[in-house]
Parts: sequence; C-alpha cells; structure tokens
Amino acid sequence: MEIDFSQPYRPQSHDAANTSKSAILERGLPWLYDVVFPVLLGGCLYFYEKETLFRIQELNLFLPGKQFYQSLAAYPGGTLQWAACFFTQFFYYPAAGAAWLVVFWILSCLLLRSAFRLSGARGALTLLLPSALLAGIVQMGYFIYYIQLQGYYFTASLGILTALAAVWVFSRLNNRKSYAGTVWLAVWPAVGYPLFGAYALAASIYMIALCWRMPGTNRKFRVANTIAGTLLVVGVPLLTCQFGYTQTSIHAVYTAALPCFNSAGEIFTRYRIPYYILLATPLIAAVTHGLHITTKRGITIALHLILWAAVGVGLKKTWYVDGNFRSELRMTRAIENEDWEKVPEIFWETNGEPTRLMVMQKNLALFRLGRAGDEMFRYREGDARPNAPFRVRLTQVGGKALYYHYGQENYCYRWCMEDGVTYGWKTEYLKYMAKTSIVNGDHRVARKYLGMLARTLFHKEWAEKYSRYLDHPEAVRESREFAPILSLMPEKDELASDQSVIETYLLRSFAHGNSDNVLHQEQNLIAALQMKDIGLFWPRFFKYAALHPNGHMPRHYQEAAYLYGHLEQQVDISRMPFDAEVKESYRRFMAFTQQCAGMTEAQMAEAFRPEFGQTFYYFYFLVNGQQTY
Amino acid sequence: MTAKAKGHTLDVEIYVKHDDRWTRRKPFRIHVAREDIDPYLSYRLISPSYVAYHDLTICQRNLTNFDEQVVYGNRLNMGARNAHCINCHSFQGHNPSRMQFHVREAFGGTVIACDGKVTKVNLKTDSLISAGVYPAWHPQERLIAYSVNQTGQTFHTLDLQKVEVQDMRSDLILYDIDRNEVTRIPGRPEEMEVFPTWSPDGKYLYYASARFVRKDSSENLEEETIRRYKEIRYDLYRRRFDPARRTVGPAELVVDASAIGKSATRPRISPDGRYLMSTMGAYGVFHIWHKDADLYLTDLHTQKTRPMTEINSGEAESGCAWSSNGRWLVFGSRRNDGNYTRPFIAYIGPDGRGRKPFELPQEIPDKHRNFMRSYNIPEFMNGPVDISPQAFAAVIRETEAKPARLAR
Repeated sequence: MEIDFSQPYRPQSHDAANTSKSAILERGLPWLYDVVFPVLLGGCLYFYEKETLFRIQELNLFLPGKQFYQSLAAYPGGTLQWAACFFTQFFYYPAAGAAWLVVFWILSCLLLRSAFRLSGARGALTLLLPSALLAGIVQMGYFIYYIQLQGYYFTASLGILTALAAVWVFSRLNNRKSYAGTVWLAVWPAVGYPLFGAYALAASIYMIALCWRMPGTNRKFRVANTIAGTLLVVGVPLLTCQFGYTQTSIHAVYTAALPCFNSAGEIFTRYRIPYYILLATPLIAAVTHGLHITTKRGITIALHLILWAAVGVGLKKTWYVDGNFRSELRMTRAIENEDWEKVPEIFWETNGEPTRLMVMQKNLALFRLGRAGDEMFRYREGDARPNAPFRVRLTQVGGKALYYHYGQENYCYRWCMEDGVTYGWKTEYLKYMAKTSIVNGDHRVARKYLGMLARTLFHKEWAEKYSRYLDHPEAVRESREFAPILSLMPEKDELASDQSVIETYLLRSFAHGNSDNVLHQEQNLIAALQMKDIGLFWPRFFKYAALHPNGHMPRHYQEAAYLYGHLEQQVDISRMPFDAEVKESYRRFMAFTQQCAGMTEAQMAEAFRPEFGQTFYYFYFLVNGQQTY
Repeated sequence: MTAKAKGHTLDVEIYVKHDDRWTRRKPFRIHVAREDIDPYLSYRLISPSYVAYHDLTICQRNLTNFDEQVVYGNRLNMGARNAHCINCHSFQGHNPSRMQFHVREAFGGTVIACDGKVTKVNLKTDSLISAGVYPAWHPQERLIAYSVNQTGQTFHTLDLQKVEVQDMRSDLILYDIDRNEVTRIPGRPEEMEVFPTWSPDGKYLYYASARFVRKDSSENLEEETIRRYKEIRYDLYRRRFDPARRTVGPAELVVDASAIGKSATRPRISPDGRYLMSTMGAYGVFHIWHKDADLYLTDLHTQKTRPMTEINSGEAESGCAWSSNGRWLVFGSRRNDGNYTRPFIAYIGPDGRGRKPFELPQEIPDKHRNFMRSYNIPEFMNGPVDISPQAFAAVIRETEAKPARLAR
C-alpha cells in the first residue's frame, strides 16, 4: 500500500468502516500506545518517585533572562538544556513536572508514528520511546547528585521530541517536493546543532535513513540527501567548534547535550542503555519503513506482546529502588522543613541497615528535639554503603545540611561552592549559601543568592522569607532556625581541613571542644560519647551535670558514666545517682556477656541486639569499625 | 560623545519611572580624561572555589564595546578522564602577541605564545620547588621571571575569609625563551620570594619576600607555616638586573611593610617608573582572600608609601595593573559582596592620586549581581590576542611540554 505522505497520518482512520472487534482494536492501539501508555508511565513516575522528583528540582536552577541563557548557549545544545532546566523547575510540584513529561512523551509518540508511518507490527515501536525516556530518569539513584548535564531530566524528552519534529517536517516536505526535503536536510544541522546538540544530528541521520525508504523519492535525491546529510552531520559540529564554540572539546562535539555519566573520572556506561534504545528507536522505525514485517495477525500480536514484556522487564530492571536512598530523601526534606519529629520516624520505618547519612540525620534531629541523650542509641546503628556503582560522598549527599545545622557554616558554604563549580549551580546550593551567609553575618553576599532565588519560579517565597533577616542580626539571633546553629558555631577560628570526610571532622571538632554554651556543650559530650573516648568524656560529663543542675541526666550519658566508671575505675561513681534501670541493664548486659563466651563479635552483636541494642553498652562494645564516607 | 568630551565633563541627569511616576535623581558629572585607556583587558574567569574547578576561561574584553572573547578555556581539552587548570596569564608589557599561561594537571606545561608561535614548556627541573608560577615578562628581552612555590591551603572554621593560601617555600627563577633555559636567582633559604615584576626599563627586578625562620625544625614545615600564618609578612625588594650579561645583583629593600605591621605583595611599577603599586594586608601572601587587603602606592622618588584610600574599600583589593600610559589602573575588588572579585578601573593622575573607581561596565547592567565567577589577574592590552582558542588547545593537547634546561 502506498501511503500519501502529503496527508497527515491518522492510523485510527484506516478502514474506518470496519466495525469488527479486531479492527476496533487495531484502531484503538495507537491511542493505547501513544496516549494511554505514556500517561500510565507518567503516573508511575509520580506515584513512586515524588520525593526524588522534588529533590531533582532542588538540584536544578533556572533563572529568567539573557545572562542565564547565554551561560548555557555557550555550548552546543545549550538551548535544549536551557529549556530542560525551565521544565525541571516544575518538579517542585512533582505532579506538574510529571505532567509536562507526559505531554512531551505523547507528542513524541505521535510524531514517531506519523513521521515513520508506524502501524501493524511496527506500531509497537512507540512503546520504546516513553519507556526509554522514563528509564533514563528512574535509573539515576545517587547519580541525581552527580550528573553534570544541566536539565538532565528533560533534555532527552525535549531532545527527541525536537528531533522527531524535524523528521516529521522532512517527511512532509520531501514527499511534496524532493528538493524541499533536501533543503530542509541541509538547513537543519546548521540550525539545529547549536540549539539541540546531538539530538539534531540524530534527526539528520533519521532523515537520511527515511529518504531511502520513502516511496516517491527518486534515487538522485536520495544520493544527494545522503551525501549532503552525512557531510553536514560530520562537518557542522567540527566547524562550529573550530570557529564558533570556544569551550567545547573536540572529543565532545558529537555528544553535545547527551549525558556522560562520569563520576570521579570513571564513566558508567550502563546508565547509557536507555539512551541507546531511545536513539535507536526512530532509526529502526526509519529503516523498517514500508516493510511489511508480517500480515499474520497472530504474529503481529506476538511481536507486540514480546515488546510489552521486554519493556516491562527492562523498566523493572532499570528502575532504581533502594529503601535507604528514599529514606534519605524523605529525611532530607523533613530537615529542610525543620520537621524534626518526622526524621526519626522515617528512620524507624526503614528496614535494613541504615547508611551513615541516615544515622547522622537521625542524630541531628534527636539533638534538635533535645532527645539525643535519651534516644540516640535506641536506633539501629549502621554503615550501609550507598547503593551505587560509584563512590558516593556525604559532601555531595546531605552533608551540606549537616554542616549547616552543626554550625560549620564555612564548610557548608565551601562544599556548596565546590559542588556548584563541579556539578553546576543548583537551587539547593544557593539556599545553603544564602543561609550560611546570614548566619555568618555576611549579609551582602546572602543578598546576592537571595536575589537570584527570588527570580526563580517556585522559590520566591523562600527568598522573601530569608530576606527578612538581612541586616537584622537580632532577628537571626532570635530565630528558631538560626539560634541553635549560632550556639553550635566554633567559638574561635582555626585553620583546618575536613579532608572531605564530614562525620569524622564533626566528631573531632565537637569532641575536642569545651564550650560553656548549654547546647554546644551537650554536643561536645555527644561527640565524646560517639568517639568512645573516655578521657574526653569525663570532663564533658561533669560539665554537663554542672550546666544542668536540676535536670535529669539523660539515659545514655548515665550508661556511659556507669560503664566507664566500672571499666577504668578512675572516677568514683559510687555516689552518683544512677537510675535503677541503668544499673540493672548494665548488670544484665555483663551477665549475658558470660553466656556468650566463644562467640565472634558479629555473633555477639546479633545475640545482644534484641535486648541491649538500645543501650550505650551495646554501642560501646559491639558497634565497631563503622565506615564513613 | 566621550571623544568630544575629552578633558571636559558630562552632565548626567537620570529619570526613573516607577509605577507610572517619574522620579528625577540628583544630577552628577562625569569627568572625561584626556588620556585613552588601552583598548583591551584580559582576565581569567574563575569561581571563587577552593579546590574544585570545571570551567575556567582566560578572556579578553574589548573596552570600546562589550565584546568578550575567550582566549583559552580549559573545557576545550576537557574529557571525562582528564581536566586541567589554567592560570597566571601574563604579557610582555601590554603586547598581546607575547603572552604566557600555565596549564596544570592533564596536558600540563607553560604555554608561551611569542610572535605567533605557540610552544609548551616544562619549567620544572629536579632542583626547583615547582614549575614556574607567578610570571613577569622582561619588558624588552625574551625572558620571563617566575617564582616557584610550594603552596598549600587550609580553611578557616569561623573567619569569613574562609580560606588561607600560603607558601611553605618559594624562590625566583629566570627563564630564557630562546635558550629554553632556567636560571635560579640565588636567595637565602629562609626567604620566601614571590610575585616578581620588572621596572619599565628592565634594569630592576622587583618582588615580594618574607623571612620565615623555623622555630622548631622537628615540626613539619607545613604545620609550622599553618600554625604561624599570621606571623608571615612580606616586604618588597628589588635586584639590579643586567640584561646584556643576564646577571642579578643583591637584594635591596624597597618597602618595609612588615615594619608597619603589613604584608606587601604583587608589586607593579607604573610605566613612567615613578610609582609602585602593591597590595597590603595584615599578613600572608594571597591577599585576594583577605578582607583587609588594600592597594598601597609607593612614590619611588620620595620612597613614601600611602594607602590608596581614594580607591580602596572595606573589602579585598588585589591584583592591579597599569595601563600603558600609566593613567589608568585596573584592579580586582570584592567591594560589592565581599566574595566575588570584580575588575574596577580608576584614573590615576600624574600626582599619583586616584579618582573614583568604576566597575567594568557590562552590557547586562546587573550581570555581576548574578554572576558566579570572579575576575582574576586583570591586565590591560594594546590589542587582542589573535591566536584562536582552538589553536592554543591543539598545542596543549598535541604537544609534550618541552623540558627546560637548568643553567649551571
């Protein structure tokens, strides 16, 4: 059957008079594939990844105006990234961002179907497009902190949409007048490459392939298109980068606007698989154009089912699911909202061994709630490695918030700056830079960051809220958020280095401190406790007691004092008013130790956990060698 | 308009429309200097980060309009597995056809462009502390003075200056481009010499130097330097230089900054040889991070030094350069927000008095309010660098750095 390319393609209109079930099904399939399926995928994305999507927009920045555009347009494909950054903002309301993606996916499917005249067995190819685009998003996991391509989460969707739109235009022009198609093919790379990078080149390749398969194009034009198109696909990037772009490596010209998936100098190619499928799908559609793969309905259905199964399995395998990662995201958000009660609740809900970030987030929340001394060892300790094939560091993941809340404002600022330089500027970094500058009294630079945030679509209110503190140090001192941070700030300046290991640096800084501030002093004691340093513990324990003359001594501090008193017998604890339960649990712990003679430390840890896992004794003896990062 | 107004004043009246209401601002005058400024300004754009770098560019700005071009950007040779830092661009006088800059890490070396020919050399020899760092082209000879430095940085836990960049050791060397030969300038081991610069006649080499005597040689040098960082102060010296014989004379003290509790760095001599502009702070070598850093002017005729209060601010001033006619000064200042260095330009009268400085004008007037990079080492040029960024990139990528010989 010859298809008239000059007419819009409406697959559902084929054989409209046929009202048999199979004909109705055939007419309905394009709707299922091009509309219903993308909507379903978008729904899944929203339903399962709300928290990730919200974090993604925090790790994005879009500023209106020429300056921001120029900063991206200095590279090929910059306009695509600029547009992608714009749409990524909408994940502030995850449903809105997901809805935009669905719109682009539907349009891409319609264009794919129309440009390549997909029907029959080939019709199922449109399944691949939104699936690959979704896989590119949901595979990321911890890469959301490390991806360097700006606007990553929309670049592929917008890029492929643009490429397919260009092919669609070509298919229409080429069919009407072959020379018009040739002109479009010649113009497109020169115009498209600077704007859309590699996606424009991909579109040209699709056009070349399609012109060989389109009926009615004579051989002369096919050869001309192929030669011109190939020369332009190869030549335009080289020429623009030799004479135009001054910051693009010759090695990166053909992959402009595509993600590299590079971390610490290593490239993780498995993350590229959805991109291979995405870019190959239109090519397959082009080279199979006009092929009647089969006329047998059974085989067609089987092919569709196979593709469905492949898509299902592929998405299942690609979708990053990790309880700790999700808990970290939720806890991070709770901390940002100062919802301290919620942080330990989320920790509690998470099964399995926690990551160090989770443990630190939980400890911070308990400290801010004034419950650390009674509860911090009641939760499971752990050092589960973040589930990623590359090295994840606290400095990029959650560490900035820890530094900020523990009063290490310079280090928080420093890591925002370092990561802004390395991974691109993000809303989250600007927020912490603004807040640390407010706490530090560096209001002029805080004004700069707040001014930038005030120009964003969804963070204006946030900027307004914090702008009220500018030039009002008394308001900062009295603020519920800032006052505890001010208390925890170092009391004198020192030159130091955190060696990029946040937990160790915080523990050492606090454990060796000796503040008279009630809040700061308690953190000195907690750090000494966590470091299991008996020499540091006693003076901080006594100081704590002196600073809280009428208060009840929290349980874990009592446990530590009771344990250390028995272990070293250098401090007389006989007249200390320990709670009966503290003494009793110590007695039972020691008695149980006798029963466990011959066990390995790991076996003992398991055996002791049910009864003693919530005590400092357990932490002291059986939680060892925790790896921080 | 400005050409016609040379030596005269422009009256400026500004009307602002807000909510359909016009407001007239207080009128003011701009005095237009008789002397032209050099047509180009070069600088490095770098985020004020501490360790990380990603996107560094040495740029040239046409001062007669808003055009800015990249001279070289590190991303031209950046791959997933290799990246390099670029720094310390420098010219012979104001001549853009003779320039150099360093490439560190991947494809490392010192890139020297001399009359259209670009080469990459390795100035590090076994007996030197490092490859060349802070450069100064001899005004007439194909000769570059460098300091070689062992540098480290540590972070303030509380101080808003945030980072302290220190030298543990430093020396001076001369590099002869034609002979590809490095000569050490002899100095005492306890002296840390840095920031060389030439007098306009090329007969004196000026530099900053701090005397750092170890108190406890058993302590690690780095730790002692960090612990005593506030004690390290630099004075300005000069040494006579014989261009014909390439000999260097003994050190002469020019500005005894430590005597007034200051540390002087980055000396720059005015083209008429009369004035020496330097940056002074309470201590240390890397004043771009020191909020108290100010520009100081030394009259080499009278040997008197004074702070340039008429152009200084409460934030860091650093890294100045004279225009070729000596009437304009460009310098880096963090006066806007205390964190990001912007180039400011001031007219300097024959009497050495500065006029009110102004920020480098931008096509987008509020660009710097949203711009996340600093301007580093502003230098006037009498024209543009005409070697393309891609040509620099090709040399950097495709050639091995030629090792320099150490003169015996």
